[in-house]
Amino acid sequence: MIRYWEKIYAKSENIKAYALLFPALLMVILAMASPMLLTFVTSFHTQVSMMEIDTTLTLGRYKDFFSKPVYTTLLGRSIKISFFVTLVTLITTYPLAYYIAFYVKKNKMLWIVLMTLPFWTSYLLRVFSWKVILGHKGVVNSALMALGMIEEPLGFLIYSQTAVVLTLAHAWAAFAILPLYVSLDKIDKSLLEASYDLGNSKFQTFWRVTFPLSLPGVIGAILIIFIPTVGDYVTPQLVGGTDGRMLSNMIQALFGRANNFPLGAASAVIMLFSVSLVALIVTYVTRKVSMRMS
Amino acid sequence: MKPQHALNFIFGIYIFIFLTYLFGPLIIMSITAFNSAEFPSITPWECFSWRWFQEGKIAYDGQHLAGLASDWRLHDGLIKSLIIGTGVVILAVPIGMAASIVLTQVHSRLRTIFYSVSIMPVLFPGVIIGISTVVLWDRIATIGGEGFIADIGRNGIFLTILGQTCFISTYCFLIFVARLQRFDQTQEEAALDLGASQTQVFFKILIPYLMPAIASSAVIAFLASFENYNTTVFSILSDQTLTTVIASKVRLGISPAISALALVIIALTLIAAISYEILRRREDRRKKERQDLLLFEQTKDSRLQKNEKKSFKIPKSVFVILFLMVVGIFSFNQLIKNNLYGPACVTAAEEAKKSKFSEQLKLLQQNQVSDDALQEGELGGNQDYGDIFGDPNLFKDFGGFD
Repeated sequence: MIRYWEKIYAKSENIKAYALLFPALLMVILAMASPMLLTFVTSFHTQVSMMEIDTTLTLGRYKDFFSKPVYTTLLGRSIKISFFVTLVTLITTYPLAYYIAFYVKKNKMLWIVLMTLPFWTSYLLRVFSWKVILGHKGVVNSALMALGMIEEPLGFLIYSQTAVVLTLAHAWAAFAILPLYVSLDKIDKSLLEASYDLGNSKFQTFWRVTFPLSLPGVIGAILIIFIPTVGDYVTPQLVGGTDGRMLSNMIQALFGRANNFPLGAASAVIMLFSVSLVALIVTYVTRKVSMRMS
Repeated sequence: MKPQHALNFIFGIYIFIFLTYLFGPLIIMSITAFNSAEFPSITPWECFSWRWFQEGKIAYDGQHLAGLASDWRLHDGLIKSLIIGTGVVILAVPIGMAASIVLTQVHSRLRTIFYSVSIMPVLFPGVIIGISTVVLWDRIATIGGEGFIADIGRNGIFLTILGQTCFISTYCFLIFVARLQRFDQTQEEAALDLGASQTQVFFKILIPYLMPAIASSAVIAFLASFENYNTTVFSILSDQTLTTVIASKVRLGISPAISALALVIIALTLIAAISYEILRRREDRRKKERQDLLLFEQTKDSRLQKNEKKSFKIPKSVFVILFLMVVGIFSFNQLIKNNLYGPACVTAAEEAKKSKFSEQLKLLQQNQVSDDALQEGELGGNQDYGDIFGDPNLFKDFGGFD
């Protein structure tokens, strides 16, 4: 019997491949697919009391989500904050990636390592450093008070949406620099020379040649930053205050203190779909724009 | 000024600002680790001290603010983070490698689908991954009843390893794909033609070729696991990792001990980055020398022969180190001159704070309101709130919480 199986195993390449794949496949199913599926199914259930969950399928939780203004507001705010974070990060990092790609001649790698150094320290500690700077007794406030410029700490510095945007933009800068740099570095320099020869100015060359060619990197950076920041949980929790709270904080509360698993699962599913939708729109629009430009 | 120069000038300013923005917070945080005040700050500078790296301090109200060396929560969290990181590396690297090899084998039409499925976990918000893992394993533990399954299903470390592996294996997958794209398939075919078995091809050709990718994906997997919070905070259940300990500290009471920890981590990162750069350069130089030698042996062109005498050049980095040392010695000198260093300064600062505290206490005692006044009202006493707490039936019909 065993020999029979051995024969089949030795003969068929496909079975061999699947046998090699089996551990990975099992892990994917165990760690990835089934939890997601379960969350999806849970979102159609109803929480009856503390411990009990009614498992009849219903769309009630989705109705709950869209009928209570809290949830839609938080969803809108999450998307808005992520949008601003993406915008700020792109605007601040693009010139730098441009500089490293076109102006730095020696030691490009050293520059890249230098730019990504903050990324290697813990993300939480970067958030903490902003709290040290912006806090009520933080460096900015205490310095201004010591100089006698203000009487009371400036309240708007921390625990606001601005603080969340600033902290996130700082934390995700490295993730934007890498794709931007790669796409800019790949550009054939002779194309730029051709553009100059044809009488374009520096700015025109940038706008007509360099920028369209770097669009893949821009799309990559947008997706890399936008998707995780919508679901970000710790930054709004630490520097957001009540005003900067985002949807993930609500989801966490629903699974924790509020103890409404189905509604939490429904919010998670809705968040997932809206993130995917926005990502698709971004990709589609940029592709359209780049087609028109070239 | 030529327009070219003007552009360079603007770029220079911009880069300076950007670097300040990038590194400023980290530098300021590192400096606050040396201030002896309880709150991380720079401007009311008390004393230069190492206390936040050591045992911390006991505040005048008896609260113990632990330093880096005496905080058992941090140590406990660190050990658990290391265990989880190792677990994630062991699981995520083989999974990523297997998936990337499959990608090169499957049909081109399947490839797009397989690729998008493989990178899906990165698109999921970490919070959802953590929650889903917990929900699933809670079900499994409930169904499995008592015993082994229930134990691992409610074990925070196990769940965290699974939850993190879910998306970290995708990072590994992307690294392996990038490396495999440059792989020369004819090598495999040659080995097979020469009579090697599939297993031998795998271990003697593919694995050695993938070795750099294995190393870098292991490092990235470990770092990503070490600093993950969004997933971990749910899946860790009642345990604590380093990041969740730090997060609870940052949220509740932020203390300079965290700055000290940050400084340690930054220093480790810097050392790792510098040694990596040095090793890389040495490797490059050796490769270049070997190539030169090979070229010389092939052509026997005397112009290519390397003349052995080397002029000794002072490396530029020495100047940077010297500059840092001079600045360090100068500022330390200033600190000592102004009595801002050492235990004497710390005790003096503590004394000053204590006397201020007792003054305030005295002031409060003078302004104390008598009990009778509180009963009457006017001052926020019982009467002002309609005497609700005076009602003896207040909790009579209260059935208790469900």
